[in-house]
Formats: sequence, C-alpha cells, structure tokens
Amino acid sequence: MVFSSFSFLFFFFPLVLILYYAGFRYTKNVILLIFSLIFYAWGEPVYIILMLLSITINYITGLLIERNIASNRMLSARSNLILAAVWNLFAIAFFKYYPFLVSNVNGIFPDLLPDYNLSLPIGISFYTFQALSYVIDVYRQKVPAQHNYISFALYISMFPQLIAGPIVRYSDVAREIKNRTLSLHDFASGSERFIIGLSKKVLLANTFGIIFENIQGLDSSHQAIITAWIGALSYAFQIYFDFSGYSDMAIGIGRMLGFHFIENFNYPYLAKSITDFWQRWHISLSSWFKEYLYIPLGGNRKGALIQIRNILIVWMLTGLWHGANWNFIFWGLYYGILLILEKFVFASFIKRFPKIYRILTLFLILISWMLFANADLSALFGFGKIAFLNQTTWYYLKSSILILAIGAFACLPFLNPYGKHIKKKAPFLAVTLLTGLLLLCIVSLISQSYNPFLYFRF
Amino acid sequence: MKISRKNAILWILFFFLLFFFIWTQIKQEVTEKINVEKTGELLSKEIKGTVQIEDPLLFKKRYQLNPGDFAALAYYGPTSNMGVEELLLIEMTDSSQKALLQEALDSRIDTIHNNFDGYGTDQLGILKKSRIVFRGNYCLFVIANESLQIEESFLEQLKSGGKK
Repeated sequence: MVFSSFSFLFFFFPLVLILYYAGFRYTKNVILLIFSLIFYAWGEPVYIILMLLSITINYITGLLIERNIASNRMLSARSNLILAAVWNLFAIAFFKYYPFLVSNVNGIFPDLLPDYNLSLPIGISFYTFQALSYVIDVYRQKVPAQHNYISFALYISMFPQLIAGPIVRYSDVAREIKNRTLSLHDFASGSERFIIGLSKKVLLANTFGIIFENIQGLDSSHQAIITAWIGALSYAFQIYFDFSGYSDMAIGIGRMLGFHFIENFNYPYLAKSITDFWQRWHISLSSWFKEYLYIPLGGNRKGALIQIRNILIVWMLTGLWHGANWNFIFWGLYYGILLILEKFVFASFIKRFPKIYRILTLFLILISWMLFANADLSALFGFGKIAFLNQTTWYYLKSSILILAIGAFACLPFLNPYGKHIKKKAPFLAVTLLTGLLLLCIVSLISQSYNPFLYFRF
Repeated sequence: MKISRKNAILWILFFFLLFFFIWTQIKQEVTEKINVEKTGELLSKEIKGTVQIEDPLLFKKRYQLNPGDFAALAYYGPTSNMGVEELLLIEMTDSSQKALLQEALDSRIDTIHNNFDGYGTDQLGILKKSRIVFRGNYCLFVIANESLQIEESFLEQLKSGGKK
C-alpha cells in the first residue's frame, strides 16, 4: 500500500487511528501489528510468510544470544550471531540478487543457472537491516533481547517505516514500543509532517518525474546539452522530494502514534562536500553501514590503505543495497572514490575554497543521480555532436523554470523560520495553509496516474 | 563455530524453513523471461481479428497508469467502438506494482461494465470471461471469448521462455 493512495488516506489510516486511540493501552501494540501486517500483505500476501519467518528467527536468535552471554558462552553467542547473519543475508541475496547473478553468469555461460523470475519482496532491504542491527546490538550487549514476541514483531513490521525506511534501530524505539505517551502536540506536529511529506511527493516529486521522463524519452534530434541538464536537475529534485517526502510521512505517522523515529534527511543539497552530503542524505542507511560494517572492518584506525579498502567495500555494498544492477555498483563506487579523494587529495582545497567546492559538490551529485537512474551521460557533456541548446531546450526552460525554482526553494531551509513564526503568532492561519496543501494534494491525486515511491524498489 | 546440539537442530530447522519457502515460490512461479511485445502479438492473434495494437497513451488514459513505470508492456484494444476485447501483457519492475495494477484492472472492468450495462448483452458476456493472471513479474489481462485458451498459451510461453 502506498501512503499517497486513496485507500490509505481515506480508509486504512483513519481506521488505524480510530482503533488505536480507542483501544486500551495494552492492545495498542496488537492493533498496530495487525494493521502493519495488513499493510504489508496488501501488495503481495505471500511474502508476509517470509517476513514472519524473519521476525520469528531473529526473535529466537536474540533470546539465544542473550542466554549464551548470561551463561558466559561467548563462542555460542557468536555462532548464533553468525548463523543469524547468514540466514538474513541469504534470504535477501536470493530474492534480490539471484536474478542479477543469473543474468551475469548466463551471459557468459548460457543457461548455466535457472532463472526463476521471482518478484522482489517489497521492503526486504529495510526490514532485513533492522533485524540485523537488532541481533548485532543484542550480541554487543547494547540492548537487552526483546522477550515479548508482539513487541519484536512490531519493531520489524511497523507500517510507517516498513517499506522505505528510515531504518530504525531497535535501541532507538525499544523504550517507545514498551511505553509511549500520546499527546495532542505530537499528533498535531505528526499531522503537519505527514501533510508536508505528502505535498513533497504529490506536488513536487511527481511533477519533476514527468519532466525527467519526458526528457529521457526525447530522440537524439531533440537532445541538447542544456536539455539534458534540465533533466538531471529534475531527477535530482524528484528523488529528493520522493524519498524525503516518504520519510516525512513515516516520521509524521510515527509521531501521531507516539513514536519518534530518527531524521533521515537534513537539507542534503546544501552539503559543503560529498562527506557532508552523506551525513545529510538517507542518514539511517549511511549510519547503519558506518556502525555495522565500516567500523568493524577497522574504519580509519588501521592506516590509509586499509581505510581506502574499507571505504570501497562499504560504498560498493551501499550501491548494491540500492539495487541488483551494475549501474548501482558503479554509483556506489563513484561515491567511494569521491570520498577517498576528499579525504586524501582535496582536503586542503576544500578548506581554502569552500564555496567553489560546494558548487562542485552539487555538480558531482547531479552526475551521480544520472548514474543512479541509468541515464545516458553523454548528452550531459555534449558527446555525439549534440547542440548546446535548441528549440526543445527553450520549450523545457519556459515550461519548467517555475517548478525548478520552487523545487530549489523547497530544498532549502528558508521557509522554516516563517513556518515557526506563523504557527506561533497565527495558528489558525497555519492550520488553514496545511489544510489547503492537503486539499491540493487530494485534487492532484485524482488527476495523477499511479506513482509509486522510487525507494520502494530497493 | 560452537553451538549445542539443540541449538544446531534449531538452526537446521530455520534454514530448512527458508529453503522450503523458497522452494514453494520457485515451484509456483517457474517462469522464463519472455519478450513482452512478441508474446503479446502472439497471444493477440488468438482473439480472432477483433483487436489491434494500441498507443501507450491510450493505455494511460484507460488504465490511469504510467506505461513508463513498467519494465515492458503490450496493449491491444478493440478494433471497433462496440468492441470489448482487450489484451494487456505487462512486465512489472517489482512486486510493489501488483496491488495497484490489480486495482487498475478491476476498475477497467467496472468501467467497461458500466459502458455496456443495459444494452450490450454480448459485450457483457465476453467481459464475464475476462482473466487476470499474475506470474512472477508478468501480468496478463484479457477480455475475450478465448480468455481461458489465451491464459493457457501465456503460461506455456512463460514455461518455455517464449520458445513455443
């Protein structure tokens, strides 16, 4: 189910809220769990079995590890952790990466591996990473194992962040799963966040998606360098508003239900460098890789060569996490190489010319999105004797300039102080504006065709 | 690796459950990759001369779905205004598209039903024979007298990878 669908907005979510708030304290988790499972099963009921299997196995593993540690059997605890990691990684590898393996191996040795053509279980990358972080944290004794099956199942399957994150760590929500307070303030701020996220998706991301798709569909006679850059800019805005919109909605729904999920975005296009960009973009994923892979590999503690190796491993896997395709691997390695260059080559340049490097960072990010979208890079740099600009460019410039300006404006935190001021001085006006935004989204949804979130496919 | 015998049995069970689940999925969804356009053309020939290939824009208009969101698509519509036959073959990018696709197909059936309700007895008869089939990442939607036969051909194509 998609947050920006009528079935969610007018049926599913209102029903969840009514039953959740009407229910007793001890029934709230059960209600949330039941609706989370319905939410997941909406698209592909059969994969709920896989998720329940994952929940049960990771739940039991947590208990086993805790018991092993309590009786000082550290080797057994470690073995259980390794087996759990293998189980989780095998599940994700088979469903997500097997088709990629088949296409590559069979490309060299025809028909060597059978192609099962199974569909990808939605959200598998997100809930597997949550489960892994739980068993690792129990092993590291950062958190006690969860003894209540319903509470653990709720942690893995909670519908606001189940399908496209943020990747919530167990330690961040354990307390709230057990005991949370519901307040009018949280409900109001959650609703506000949800409407803002919905507007980002419906009004901005989908509009930029249309521009990008149209430019991608142009034949070579209509291509021009500037047109290609308008397309790149549109995709950069689309992916940001799409994904940060989803995160806003997830955080908003969580807050309405009494949970406080971590922030996933912090104005990434304001980044001063690529390192800074990844501290602002998909924060929950980059911090996951840092804590559970980069640091255990040795991080930057074992010399420059090992650090370079670690960065390349982490970023190749970050790319692979996004999708089973070569363009994602190249995209990940592209960032790995840029981060290595920033750390070992450009460090003094960044300090001396921060403004120039900020512009260069934006340029590098735009190129990375074209790799991510598997788009043709040659048009961006004018390869193949294409014009600098042509009639089509003027058409796109005229028709998209306003929405591009709105997109650029909405990427920056300019509006925040005004929003706070309006909420404080004229709350009625703030509510009216938000209601207007919500109505605008609903009207737009009526006229739009199906637009899934880009991150659903990961 | 050091674990107790009880623990080892538990892990064998865990892995067995995972492999069993995968096996059930493979068994159910054994599909080879097919060329959507070629297979669509082949299947459309089984609807005896009453459909023609349509523009993706018409698909967008009729189904309220973006053709570009799918990996591949072949859409055949009726040759006359009073025709009701349609054939749609889609390759989805992932399972998340299934629910919305199902919704769009149901809504298309409702629309056709409303268009012919009250006077198009023949058309409504054909509509009742419509079939929606999901296999792996493929979806077939067909409205025709020959729907069942086309469904069988489609499944054959998936098993043989379009070689039959």
